[in-house]
Amino acid sequence: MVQFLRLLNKTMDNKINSLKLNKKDHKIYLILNFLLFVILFFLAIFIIYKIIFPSQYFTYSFANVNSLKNTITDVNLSDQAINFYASTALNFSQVKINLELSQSNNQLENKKISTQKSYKSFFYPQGDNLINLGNKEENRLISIDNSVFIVGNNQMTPIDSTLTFESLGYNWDNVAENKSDLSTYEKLKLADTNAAHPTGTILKTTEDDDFYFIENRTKRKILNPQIENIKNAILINSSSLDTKENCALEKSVLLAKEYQCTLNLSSLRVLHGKDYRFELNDLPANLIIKQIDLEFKRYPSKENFQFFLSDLKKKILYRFGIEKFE
Amino acid sequence: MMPFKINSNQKIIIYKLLNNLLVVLLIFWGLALMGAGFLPEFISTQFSFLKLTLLLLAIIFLIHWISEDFQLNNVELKKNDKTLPILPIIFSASTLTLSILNFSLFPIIISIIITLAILFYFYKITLK
Repeated sequence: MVQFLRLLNKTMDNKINSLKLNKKDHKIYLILNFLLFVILFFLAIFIIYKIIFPSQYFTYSFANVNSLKNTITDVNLSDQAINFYASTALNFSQVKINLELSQSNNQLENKKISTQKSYKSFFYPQGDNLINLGNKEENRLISIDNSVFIVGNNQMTPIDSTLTFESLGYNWDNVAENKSDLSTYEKLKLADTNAAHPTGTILKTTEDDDFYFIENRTKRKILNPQIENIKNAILINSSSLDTKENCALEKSVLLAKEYQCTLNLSSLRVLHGKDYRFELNDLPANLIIKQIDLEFKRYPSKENFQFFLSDLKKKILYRFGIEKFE
Repeated sequence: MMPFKINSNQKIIIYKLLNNLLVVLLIFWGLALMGAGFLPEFISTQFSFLKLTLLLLAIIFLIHWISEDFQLNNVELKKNDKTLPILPIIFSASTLTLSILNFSLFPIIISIIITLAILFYFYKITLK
């Protein structure tokens, strides 16, 4: 590294050799140059560290509910409970939750906040069972130019990126070129990583091969699915509904209006899905929440480094077509 | 106009440091771009290409602004610097190869023809 920097420095000095400095200024230049390279070196180390052990921030301000800076979604606040979602394609070890109140309220102390992981659509309330798919239409994945759309039930949802496509659990092998007229289809909002599966999606549990049909923000169990007709089932875990992580809120040491706790996500890591659903029940009366902040972290450990390497290997094999994406 | 007074030697120091910073950040930008080509969205989820590109443009602007006072006529490409275009050619070829992976044949042919044409004119401009 030092050799490389010396060589680089020499090259640069040759390039601008018409600009001579006196001995004193040249010394200052060398010191500053050394400091510059040291800063850049640590910056590079920091970026590599952030790639291997990433963190991601989410926020929601109740003072500006329409702000584009709000990355926490589907916030549902009632008199006694609050639930909300944070969606991420990455896997994390823990999440630090911070609730900022308008006024200090000691009744929030020790209240438990819980989280579950799956897809938003699997957290939908359960509707009536379906005997079979009958006249229900399963969504298809089609490509038009360089874009991929979820198409079905007279609606089409464009997908914003490959990351969103994969984080929604879709398989590239199921994308077909469009050959039909879609001009009468209603074009829905662009799907990003916060998106929920649209009506017409079929979910399949990995544990017991149960199938669910998503329709108008409800999930309907298909009692007799004709598996050969189902093309784009999204894998989910039935245990996602029962597996929860909890932590008890504590008053911040520095700020009286803030309550914090840290959730361990290790048991949720193996579950399919990109959406973390947070829930806080038994809210004290007259509580006014000003802001919610979440910080997802992957802390540096041997296990997380091995996880990074296996994830890297999986993505490289998939990228070069050696292995299929799961 | 400088917002504060600095002498010509200090300007030279700043100019040289900015040049060094530009080269290191360009190398970093190239490596990050190659990394993103190798594994799309693995790097970009934690790292903003837009911010780095804006920083590079800001540094280029600063270098241009400071260098207005200098006589830089002696700065020329040396003979052995003619090997320098090989780096962008290797870089372009690698990023092109990574970007056309999994493409069908027709877009691959079009992309290769256009890239070869650009590289040919790049060669004509820099080496002729």
